[in-house]
Amino acid sequence: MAKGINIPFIAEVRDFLRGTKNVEDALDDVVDSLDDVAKEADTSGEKAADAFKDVEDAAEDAGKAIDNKFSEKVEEAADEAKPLEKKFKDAFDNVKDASKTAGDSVGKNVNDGFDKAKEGADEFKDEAQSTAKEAAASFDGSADSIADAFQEVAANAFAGFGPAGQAAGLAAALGIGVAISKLQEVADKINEVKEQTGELALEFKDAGGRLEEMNLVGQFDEWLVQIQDARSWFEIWQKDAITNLDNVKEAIEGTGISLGDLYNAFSENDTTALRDYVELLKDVNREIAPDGHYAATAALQEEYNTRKDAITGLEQEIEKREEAEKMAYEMRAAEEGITVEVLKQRDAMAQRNDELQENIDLNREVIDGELDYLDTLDQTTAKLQENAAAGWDKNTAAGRENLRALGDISSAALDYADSITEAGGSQEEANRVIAEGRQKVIDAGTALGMTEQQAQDYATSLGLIPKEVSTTAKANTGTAEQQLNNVARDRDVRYKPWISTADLQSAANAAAQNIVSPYVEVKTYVSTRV
Amino acid sequence: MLRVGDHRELQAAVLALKQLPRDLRLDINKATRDVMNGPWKQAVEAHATSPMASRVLATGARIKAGNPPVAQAATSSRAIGRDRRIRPVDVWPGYEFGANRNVYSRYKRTSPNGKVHTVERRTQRHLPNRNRKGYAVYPAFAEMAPRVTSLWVQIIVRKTYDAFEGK
Repeated sequence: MAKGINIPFIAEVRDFLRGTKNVEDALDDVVDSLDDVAKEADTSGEKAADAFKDVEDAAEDAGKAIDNKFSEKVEEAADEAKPLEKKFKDAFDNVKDASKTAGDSVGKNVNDGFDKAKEGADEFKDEAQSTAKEAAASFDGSADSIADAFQEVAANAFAGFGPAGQAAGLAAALGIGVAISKLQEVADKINEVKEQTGELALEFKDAGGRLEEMNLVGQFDEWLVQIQDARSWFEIWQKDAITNLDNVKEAIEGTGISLGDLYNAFSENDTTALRDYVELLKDVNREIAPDGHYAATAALQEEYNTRKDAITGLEQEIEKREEAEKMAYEMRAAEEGITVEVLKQRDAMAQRNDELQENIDLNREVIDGELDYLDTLDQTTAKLQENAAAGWDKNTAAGRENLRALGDISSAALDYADSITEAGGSQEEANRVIAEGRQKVIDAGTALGMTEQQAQDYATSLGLIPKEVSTTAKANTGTAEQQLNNVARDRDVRYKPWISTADLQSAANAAAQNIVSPYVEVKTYVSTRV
Repeated sequence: MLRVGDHRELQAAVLALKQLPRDLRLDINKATRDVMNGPWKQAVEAHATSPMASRVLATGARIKAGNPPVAQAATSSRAIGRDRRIRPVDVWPGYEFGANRNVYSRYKRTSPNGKVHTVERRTQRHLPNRNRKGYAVYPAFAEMAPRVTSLWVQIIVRKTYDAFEGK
C-alpha cells in the first residue's frame, strides 16, 4: 500500500477479477445482461442513482452527504451512457469476432507457410528471434532505426532459405508479420519504460533528493517479476512467458554474482555498483562469443542470448533510474526557479545540516543530562540532610521523601547514562556514570541508616546496574550481582560536597554561559533568476 | 461505496479493461489520468480550508489510473515548513480527521538557562476538531466519486469504440 491517502473508486475489484476464471466468457455474460439493463431504461437510471446513494451511506467514514445536484448529474451521466452502452456491447462483440477470424486466417497461413518451407523453418525461427532481440536492444525509437531493424530482421531471417522463390510464400505468410509484431513489441516496451521513468521521477521528486526514503529494493522486485517476453500466439517455438527473474537467474549462474549482490547494488544511492555487475556479465558473454561471432555450441548460444537479455534489461533499469533522477531534479529545479546544480548543492547541504543538527541535539542532551544529574544531586542532598532524622522509614512522610530522593538520583544517573550512549559515547563511559550514581545512592542509603547490603540491594532494585553486563545479572543473579557490586564499588567516585542553592545557581549559570552552541547553519543564498 | 459485485455496468468496465489490448489499456489509463487529475486536485484544494490543510492534503493529490482508478492525496514525503520536519505522509490524519484540541500533554523542555522543566500545554491546538467524516479529502472524494466513476466507464467505452472505428 502506498503511503498517504488511497481511496479506490470501486471496491473489491481485485477479488472480483480473481474470482473470474474466464474473462472473455464473463464479459460476454455481463454484456448480455447489460442489454436487459438498456431495455429497462427507467429502472436503470434509478439503479445508477441508487448506486451512488450507496456512496452516501458509506460516507459514514467517507465523508459528507451527497446532495441532489449529484444524483442529477448521475442521471445525466446514465442517460449519456445508454447509447454508449449499446455501442460498447457491439464493439466488444465485433472486436472479438474480428480477432478470432484474423487469428484463424493468420494461424492457418502460418501453418501452411511452414509446411511449404519446412527445411528452412528451424533456421528461420532462430534467426528471427535472435535478430529481433538484437534489434530490440539497439532500437532507439527513431525512424531510421526502425527501418534498420526491419531490414536486419528481414535480411538475416531469410538467409537460410536458399532460392528466393521457395522463401517467398513463407515471407508473405509469416516473415513480415513476425517482424512487425516484434517491432511493435519493441515500441510498446519503449513507451512503457518511458512511462515508468516518469513515475519513478515523481517518486524521486517526492523524496526530495533523499534516496534512502525511496523503496529502491521494491522497484527491483517489481522489475524482476515483470514478464520480459510474453508468449504470443505466433511464437510457436516459445513454451512459456519469461520473466526478468528467469533471465537474471540464468545469467548470473556461474559468474560469482548472487541475486543478493544485485539487491544490494539496487538499494545503493548511485548506480556504479550495478554498472560494475553489468560489465562483469558482459565480460562473461564476451568470453563465450567475441563481438560479431557466434558461440561454439547451440547450448552456449542459448546461454549467451539469455544473458544478453538480462544485461539489456538491467541496463534499461539503470538508465531508467538515472533518467528519472535527472528528471526529478529538473522538475524540482524548475519548480523552485533555480538551476539543477544549485539544487543538488542545496540537497547535499540540507543533508549535512540535518546530520550536524542531530549531532548537536544529541550533544545537548548529554550536557543537559549531566546538568540534570548534578541538579538532582544537589537537591536531594539538601533534602536528605533536612530529613536525615527520619531515616528510611516508609511510615513517615519524611522517610518516604528520602526514599523518593534516592529514586531521583538513580533516574537522573540513568538518564544521563542513556544520553551518553545515544550520542555515540562508549558504554564504559555510561557505566561510569551509572556506577557513580549507584555509589551515591548507596552512600545516601547508608547515611539514612541502611546496612551496606540493604543499600546495595536498593540501588540494584532501582536499576543502577552497568548496562553491558546486566543480562548476565539476570541469568545468574547471585554471583553476578555480587560481582557487579564489586565493580560498582571499585570505581573512582567523584564526591561533590554540598553547596548552597545560591552557589549552585551561579555555578549553573556560569556553566551554561560556557556552553557554546556548536550549531552551524549553512545558508545558501539563491537568486530566483537563473 | 461502489462495489463491483453490485453493478453489472461496473463489472463490464472492469472485465473489459482487463482483457483489452495493452495499447488501448494504456491509452485509457492515460486519458483517465489526464481528465481526472486536475478536478481531483482542485476538489481537494477547494475543501482544504486552512493553508496547512492544503499544503498537507493537496500535495500529491492525484489519480492513480488503473483497474480500478485510485484517488490519492497526502502522498508527498517531502517535508514542508521552515524546519523541514513535517512530512505530509506522516501528519495527514490530524489534518483530515482532526484531533482532540483540548488534550493537555506534558513534556520536558530545557529553558534558555539550561534548566529542565515540565511544560503542560495543549499540543494539538493547531489541528481542527475531531471529525470522523474527514475535512477535505473524504468529502472531496464523496463529491467526485460519482462523476469520476461514470466518467471512467465512459472513457473505457469511448476509447474502445474509437479504437474499433480506427480513430
